[in-house]
Amino acid sequence: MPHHTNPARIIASSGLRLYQKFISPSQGDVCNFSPSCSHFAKEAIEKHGIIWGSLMASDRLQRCNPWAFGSFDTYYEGIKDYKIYDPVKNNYIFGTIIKDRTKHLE
Amino acid sequence: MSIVILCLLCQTDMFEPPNLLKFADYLYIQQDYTAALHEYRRYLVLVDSATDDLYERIIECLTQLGRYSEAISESENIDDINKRNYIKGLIHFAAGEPDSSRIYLQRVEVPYISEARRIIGLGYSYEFKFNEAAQYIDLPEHSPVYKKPFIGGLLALFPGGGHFYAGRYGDGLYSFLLVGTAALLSYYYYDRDEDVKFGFALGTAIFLYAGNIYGGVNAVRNYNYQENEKYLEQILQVQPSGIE
Repeated sequence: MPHHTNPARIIASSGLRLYQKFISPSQGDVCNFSPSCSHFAKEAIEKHGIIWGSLMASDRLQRCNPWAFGSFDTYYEGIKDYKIYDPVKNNYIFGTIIKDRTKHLE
Repeated sequence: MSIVILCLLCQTDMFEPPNLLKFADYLYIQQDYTAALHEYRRYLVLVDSATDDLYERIIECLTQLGRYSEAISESENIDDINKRNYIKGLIHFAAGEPDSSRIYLQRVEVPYISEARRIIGLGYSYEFKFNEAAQYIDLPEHSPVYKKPFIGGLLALFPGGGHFYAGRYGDGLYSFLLVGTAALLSYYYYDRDEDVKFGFALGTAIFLYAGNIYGGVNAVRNYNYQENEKYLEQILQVQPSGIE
C-alpha cells in the first residue's frame, strides 16, 4: 500500500499536525533538537512509513532529554538554530550516516 | 581624474602580456583567485600558446573558487597526459568525490605516483574504508573499536541498555525512566480494571519500549561513526589533509 493512502499514516500525520497547531504553540519552543521532535516524526513517517517512522520518532522522544547536549558536538551533526541538528537521514538504521560538520557549526 | 586615466593609458607596457602575467601571478600569490583568474584569462587572449604551468594555476584558481567542473574542462589543455590525470584526480578529490578521483589517480605514473597514492589513501580514509586505505598510506596503530548494533538492540531489551552500551548514559537513564513509568502506569490501571486508561498506558509503553530497542541499535551505529571520525582525525594528524 503506498504511503499516502495508508490509513495509519494518515492518522499519525493528522495527529502530529493537530499537535503542532494546537498543543505545541502553548508550550513554546522547548525541543532540544532541530528539526523538532514533531517535525522529525512527521518527516520520518513520510519518508520511511508508519512502522519505521514511529520507531524513529519514539527513539527521538527518548533522546530529547535534559542530558541531550552531552557530547552533542561529536555524537550529533552539529548545531542549527541554536539547537542540536539531528536530521532524519542519520537515524534510519538501514541508511548511511553522513555528518557534514562544516555546515552546522553556528 | 580624466588626466590620470589618460596618463595610465599612455603606460602601454602595463598591458603587455609579460606584465599581465606578472600581475596575475601576484594576485595568485595574494590568494585573490577571482582576480588572478581574470588576469590569466586576459593573458591567454593576448598570447598564442601557454604552458602547462599556466593552466595549472588557472585550475588551482578554479578549484579554490569551488568551480570544479570548469577546472576539469580546463585540465584538458594540459599536454602531459600523466600530469593531466594527476590533476584531474586532485580536482575530483577536492570536490569531495574520492571514487572519481581514484579513476584518474590510479593511472598516474612517476613522478606523481607517491602523492597520488597518498591522495587515494586519504580518499578511502574519508570514506571510512580503512582496510583499503592501508594499502596506500600508513595508518595509526590503534584502529577504531567498533560495537555491534545487534548487541545494542539485544541489551535494549532491558530499557536503556542499548544506550548505556553505546556510552549514552543520559539517554539510557531517560529511556529507562520513560518505559518504566509507562509500564508501571499500565499495570496500575490494569489492577484497577480501568480498561481505557490501561489501553492508552499499554500502547504508550509498547511505543516507548519498541523505540528504545530501535534507539539501542541507532545509538551503536552513531557510536561507530564517532569512532570512525576519531580514527580519521588521527590519520589526518599524520597525513597532511590538503593537496600539496
